[in-house]
Amino acid sequence: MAWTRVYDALARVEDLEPTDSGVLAFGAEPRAGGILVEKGRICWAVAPGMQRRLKDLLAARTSERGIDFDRIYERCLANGSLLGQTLVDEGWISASELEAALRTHSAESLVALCSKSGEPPSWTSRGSRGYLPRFTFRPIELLLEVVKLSAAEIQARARAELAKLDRADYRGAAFCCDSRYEVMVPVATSGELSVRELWSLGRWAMQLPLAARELGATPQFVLASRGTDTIAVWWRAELLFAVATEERSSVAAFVAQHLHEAG
Amino acid sequence: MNIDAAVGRACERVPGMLRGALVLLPEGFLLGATPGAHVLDLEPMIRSAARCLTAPTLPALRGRDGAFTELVFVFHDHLFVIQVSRRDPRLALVIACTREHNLAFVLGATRLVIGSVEEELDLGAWGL
Repeated sequence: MAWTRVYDALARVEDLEPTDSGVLAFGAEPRAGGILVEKGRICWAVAPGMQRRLKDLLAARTSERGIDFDRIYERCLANGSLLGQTLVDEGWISASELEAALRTHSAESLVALCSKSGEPPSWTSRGSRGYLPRFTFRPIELLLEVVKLSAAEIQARARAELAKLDRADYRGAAFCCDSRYEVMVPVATSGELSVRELWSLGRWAMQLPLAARELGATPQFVLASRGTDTIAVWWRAELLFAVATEERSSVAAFVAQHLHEAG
Repeated sequence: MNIDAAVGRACERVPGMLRGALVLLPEGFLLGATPGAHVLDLEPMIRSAARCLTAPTLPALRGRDGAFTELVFVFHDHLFVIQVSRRDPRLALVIACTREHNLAFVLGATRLVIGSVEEELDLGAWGL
């Protein structure tokens, strides 16, 4: 998959006016698919060949719950009602499970859309007229869901490491530098970040392992400061972490924790 | 004016000092070094600093935008500190020192060193 196409598409959604809604189309034909956006948030990504995938994802979630899934599906088709919402209304799945299935479906569709080369996607605005979806996703949420599809174990490890920081003011991310990816792929975040910020942070932070290589050793960590802004960077195996803070006490806590861990 | 002598004198205040150098970036030109520092030991430090300080710009995540002025690599047995001039980002001090001293103390000392070197030296001939 072309990660840079994923970044570019999601960054374009972030760049939209927060009141704007419409579709980021991946081709001139409507059937080519695209990303439906409502007020800067993603409702759904749709790709050719992925129409029935949501049904499969929902079926997988209900497979051990004694449900006659095909009968409900046929009923929804006949009534013109939404399958996912019907499953929630009848108590077969929770609203959060439906949200998770929709997020996974959009992530898989985004992967399909970005796997093909072609012209950059084009934006068609609907102004303030949206799609009234039940669930919407921030571009960064969808990016991390895409990562989860191919690197769930690495993502879990990265989240566990970031969770150790245990301070609310940190903002940062973990990146995977595995050779199977053509770029540094963000796999987990700490605090609120945009796709653009993540992309910049990864490009900047990847210089530090290269700088350390010049010195012939791997540091326990690196601190980089500008004014009151400090970024702590460290790396373990294929994961690189970079977190920013303005709090001196947080820097001190980070240093103490990492020196303690190193023994 | 002897740049080596000025750098050596200023760096005496850094606890656990091993070696240090004043360099011009991004070319990595060595302007002066601490007494006894061998150029082969300084070269990796200078290359490392050049990599760090020519990295892509990072927008502010916390605090303010701009270039980084201080970096410290914490190794198990030593520290490597890069202090960028607050007056001219092309000038940087690179220092290696032992680990037994307090990190904040070392960083504070190296900040004073780059400041005092700039005060003492006239680097106009270097375009600074």
